[in-house]
Amino acid sequence: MRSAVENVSYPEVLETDWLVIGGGAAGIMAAVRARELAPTCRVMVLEKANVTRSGCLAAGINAINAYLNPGETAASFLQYVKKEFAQQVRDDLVLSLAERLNEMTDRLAAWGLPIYRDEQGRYRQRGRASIQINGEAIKPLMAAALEASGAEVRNHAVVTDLIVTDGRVAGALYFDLHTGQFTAVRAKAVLIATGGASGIYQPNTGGAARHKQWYSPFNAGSGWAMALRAGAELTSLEMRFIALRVAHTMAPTGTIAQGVKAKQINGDGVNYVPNYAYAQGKPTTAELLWATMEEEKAGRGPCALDTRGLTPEQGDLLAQAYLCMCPTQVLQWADAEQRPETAAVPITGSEPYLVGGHGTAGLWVDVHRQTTIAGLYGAGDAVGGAPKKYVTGSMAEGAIAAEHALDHFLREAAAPHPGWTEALEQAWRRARQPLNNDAGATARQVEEALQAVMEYHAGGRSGGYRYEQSGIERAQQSLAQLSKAGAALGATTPYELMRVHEVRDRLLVAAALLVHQSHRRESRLPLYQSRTDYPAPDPQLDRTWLNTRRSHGRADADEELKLEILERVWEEAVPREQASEEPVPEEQAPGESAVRGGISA
Amino acid sequence: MTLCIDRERCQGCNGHPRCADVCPGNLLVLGEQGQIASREPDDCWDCAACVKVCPRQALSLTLPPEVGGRGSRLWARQVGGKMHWTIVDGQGRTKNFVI
Ligand SMILES: Cc1cc2nc3c(=O)[nH]c(=O)nc-3n(C[C@H](O)[C@H](O)[C@H](O)COP(=O)(O)OP(=O)(O)OC[C@H]3O[C@@H](n4cnc5c(N)ncnc54)[C@H](O)[C@@H]3O)c2cc1C
Ligand code: SF4
Ligand code: SF4
Repeated sequence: MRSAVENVSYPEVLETDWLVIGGGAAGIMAAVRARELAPTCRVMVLEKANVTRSGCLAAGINAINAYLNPGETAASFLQYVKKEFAQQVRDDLVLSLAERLNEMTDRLAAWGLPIYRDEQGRYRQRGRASIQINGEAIKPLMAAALEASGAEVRNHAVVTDLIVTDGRVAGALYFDLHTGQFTAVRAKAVLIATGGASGIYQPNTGGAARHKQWYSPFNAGSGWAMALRAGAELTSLEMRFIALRVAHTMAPTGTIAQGVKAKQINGDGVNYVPNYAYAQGKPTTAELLWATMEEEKAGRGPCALDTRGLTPEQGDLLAQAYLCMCPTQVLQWADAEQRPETAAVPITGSEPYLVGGHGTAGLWVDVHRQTTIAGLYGAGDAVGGAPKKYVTGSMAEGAIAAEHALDHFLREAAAPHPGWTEALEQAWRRARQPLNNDAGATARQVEEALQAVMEYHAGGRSGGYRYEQSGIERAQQSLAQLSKAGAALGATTPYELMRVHEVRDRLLVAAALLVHQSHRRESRLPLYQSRTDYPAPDPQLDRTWLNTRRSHGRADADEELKLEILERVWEEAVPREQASEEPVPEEQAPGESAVRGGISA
Repeated sequence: MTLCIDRERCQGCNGHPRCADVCPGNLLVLGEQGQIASREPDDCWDCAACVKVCPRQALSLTLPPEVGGRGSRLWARQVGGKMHWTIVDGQGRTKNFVI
């Protein structure tokens, strides 16, 4: 039986100047910035859920994790980020967003976000680069600022494809989740701000707890799949992000580790962190995860954050901090009839994610956040090379992209877009194709099969996050079969259509990830990118970035799309030898030419 | 099943369900009886966005057996500028927070 969605009519075509895909932290700031600099600029935000509570920030947050506290500079922030990622970051991207972190924080304060202050009236510091906030309502506050900007917001608008003509982005195609109707939006420039990707690997807990994940289970890597189909490049997918989180709830641990400085203990009650040797003396985030998993492997788990001995008032403050970000943590304490001050909080590694806000996987962009396709930009968790950007860094990237797009595209007369009709036809054919398929397997079945393949062969949690060549090749064979199953998935309602596209997008992103994993024959970051057959770093790959892009194949059939890998060598803008904690003199800050000169394919 | 829907309380918001509007996963939908239902209960992220906007406190969170299952529940509602949280454990003991 077919629903009305089968009979969808030819897409209506709308016009705008700046088209923003994804109404999260990055997308909202990109829209607001364009409107404040150019009040006549037409801005449209397409969001698959509702900007009020969509994306990573749905439940709120309790800290701003990228902020330059007194004494810190953009350059010192860069050095801190480089240490965390074995020097493998894009200096130009990190520096340019770091310069805007405090401006973004002040904007959030101006939008009404409550930020705690110390006795001197300064924002209250939590960790080196973080401050404490009451951020339960951060997303509704951002949504209100977006509305006040006058940008047009379309909620429940699921974007499936970019439309590219003549090597330049021309717009995007979406369908409405209520009606199933497709609409094409023609634009002068387009921003991908769809976040990162969860659901590539098997979740730690399955069944009714399958979405008890840290990263948003609704960010499916769609922007990356669209970008690949359109011919843009993705970088560093092999540099996954694996979070050390509260076991079972996957609640972030910084609230406890930084908030009350709790020690990490193993099952014997011993603080195990000093028992390991770290590359730079002090452990990085990845090394803390590695040490914890080593303890588990040695049978000394479960590891925990030792909160015992806190006062009941401190326990209540912790509970309040979690209610503002991950309320199930407080529910879990109640359910287990425990309180943090009486029982240590168990921690473990999460399923791996691909996310540019924490790690380095994502779109390959220049310093203005423009991709390799003219007029197509990226910002936030969707952009690679600049880890640890979090909320404020994501917003900064949205602002940077909007400013460049305004200067180069948005004020021009609309381009003629030769080939628009054919490009739209092709996108529409691909996007509605599942409506013609008969119901067979469900999206969830194919998604779970993908997750099992990645879990067992491509460095899932059960294998200690490590992998080897034979596993990657086996995963590639399985994925080729699964892509056929993905191509055969059918949908009868708009919601099912969204689910089918999410699974197909995850399959494509996973295929690209495997290409990256196969190509990087070294181990560079503990567990994030760690192989059993090449266990050491290869100095020859220092500064080598692996990128994938589409080589050939039909863009309207994912299973036929072929990917190629590129090695891009990127010189450091601030060489390691000068890696001091001092501010970088103006003339050493990376200029556009220095960056361009650094690229070689 | 982590989102609990109280069928006595849900009145469907006159056909414009507030909870369904804000769910980041588009999981909620009005059923035939004019009451809210989840399309896929296992897909809930437990973000509590729907819980917070329900004008009738018809929604609450609980823990599935995989990670709990002792029947504790969590409610939240916005009163003025503050969020009022109520957590009831398996023994029926209540804890309130106003943040
Ligand atoms: C649980 C959790 C806690 C965190 N805590 C903190 C913290 O305490 N401090 C901090 O600084 N950072 C924190 N972060 C990180 C921070 O939230 C992210 O880095 C930031 O929100 C990324 O912004 P974004 O706009 O790139 O992605 P998001 O905010 O996730 O926005 C992406 C948007 O794109 C939409 N979208 C996706 N696909 C499509 C499509 N096909 N069509 C239309 N729309 C689409 C999504 O619905 C979503 O709204 C946390 C993240 C998580 C997951
Ligand atoms: S918001 Fe509450 S009353 Fe309204 S539809 Fe949802 S559950 Fe029912
Ligand atoms: S808790 Fe969040 S994910 Fe779950 S149904 Fe409610 S709004 Fe949706």
